[in-house]
Amino acid sequence: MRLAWLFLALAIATEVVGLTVMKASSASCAYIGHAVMYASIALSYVFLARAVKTVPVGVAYAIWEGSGVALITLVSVFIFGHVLSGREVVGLSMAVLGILLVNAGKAHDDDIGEEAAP
Amino acid sequence: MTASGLSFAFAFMAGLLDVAANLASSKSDGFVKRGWGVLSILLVLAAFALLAEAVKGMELAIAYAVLGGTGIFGTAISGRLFFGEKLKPIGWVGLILVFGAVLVLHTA
Repeated sequence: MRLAWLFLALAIATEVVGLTVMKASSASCAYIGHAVMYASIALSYVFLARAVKTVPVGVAYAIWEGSGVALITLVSVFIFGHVLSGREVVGLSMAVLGILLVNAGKAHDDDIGEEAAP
Repeated sequence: MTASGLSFAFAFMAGLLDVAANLASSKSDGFVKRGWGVLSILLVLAAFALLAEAVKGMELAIAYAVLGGTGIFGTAISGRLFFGEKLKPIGWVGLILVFGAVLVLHTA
């Protein structure tokens, strides 16, 4: 179980790193940045697939997507110097909360499904 | 930086591809069916290619939130329509929040 959470953390980290590199290189149209992003996204997907073998799918996706939005917001603000407007803060907060709630609405079904399995 | 219409459209279409990728992933039964598994990875990469276009005209955090919000909304609706997946009331509240978030970010 601890290993599964490690895989989930790695899935989140590789995606955030990939997107950061892509954004950093987007101004100069460097294809290396895009290649790094594609490799990172594919790797993130593999880590996520490993994580969901033990972590419930709904819970894993909620954490992956919710923390992805939150972390990329932090990257946007502190690395790329984006000053968030009030509306943007509201929108991003709604997105993170909404993503968590949608998957919370699914996760219980996943749990029931697991219990129902013989 | 205000999101331009074109960049927002790219982020939104990236979200739709993310929905398709999630559906293909479900069909692959945890990548046991490799054809569907490969398709889902290709769709995810295509989604992020569109995201790369979107960030040329809007901030990364905004573009990613639009992709994520559209993806989660579309996947939940599609899951219900195609696979009969039930969503608890708290999930519907989440969908309303996600939909609202995309609208707020679009007009930010």
